Amino acid sequence: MYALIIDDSRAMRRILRQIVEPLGFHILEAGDGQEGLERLEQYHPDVELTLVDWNMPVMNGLEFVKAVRGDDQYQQMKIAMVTTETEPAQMARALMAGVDEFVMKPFTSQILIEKLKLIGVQCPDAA
Amino acid sequence: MTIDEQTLQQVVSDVCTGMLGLELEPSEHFGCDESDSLSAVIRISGDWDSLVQVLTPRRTAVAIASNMFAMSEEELSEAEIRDAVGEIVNMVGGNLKGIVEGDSALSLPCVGECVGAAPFDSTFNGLMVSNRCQGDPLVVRVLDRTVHA
Repeated sequence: MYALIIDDSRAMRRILRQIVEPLGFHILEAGDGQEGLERLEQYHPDVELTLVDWNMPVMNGLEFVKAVRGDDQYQQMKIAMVTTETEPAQMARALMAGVDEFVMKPFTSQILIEKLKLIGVQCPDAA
Repeated sequence: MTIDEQTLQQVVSDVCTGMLGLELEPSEHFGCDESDSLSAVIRISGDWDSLVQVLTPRRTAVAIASNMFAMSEEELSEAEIRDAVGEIVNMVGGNLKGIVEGDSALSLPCVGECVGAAPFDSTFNGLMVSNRCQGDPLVVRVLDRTVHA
């Protein structure tokens, strides 16, 4: 089972990988939404979870979510937006587009894992 | 809500210590004209128009990147060092944007060599907090450029 991490910051991708990989996921990485869509097409239907940043070049996180949720084959995949965006109006836009959960930067590993559990992410190595 | 020095320090602490586990100690202000420094800047535009800058000697940037990438300092590339500092200013700027009321947007971070006090000149009179991060200097500055009617 795969988790896809989309963030233009390699440092942030590394941090997220260090938290999610021990849960039992194989990790895919992408530097923007467009690259993320390409990874999804390659690895569908084995991507269980996507963690996506909002503010990215080429295709931002909101555009990525709209593209994914507009495609029937990706409806079951969980999407968590990992972002500094905290404005209620912006969060509402993302939720309406199909985001399952928000994780605000800065976060701790415990917060991220709790959020993933809340949306029913099935961690391969979970007891 | 507007940003004051205490709020700025709290945000910097949340990012550096709370998330990244870096050692952070408030310190005296130090000069920003070191020749071997990196400057990471992000712009907030809209109802609140401002620039947020993380200014740090290269040795601090390397220590931060080493922590974030879990790599030795010798293994790090220049791109990874800049990426790490860029992500710090991205998180600080994003959190500040969330605190100030109104509709504003965050740019992508821009990281480069520090030339003098770029992008602010010596007349800078915005908010500034100075810290020792992993023992080395780290300065965060906010310049509010909002034109108030």
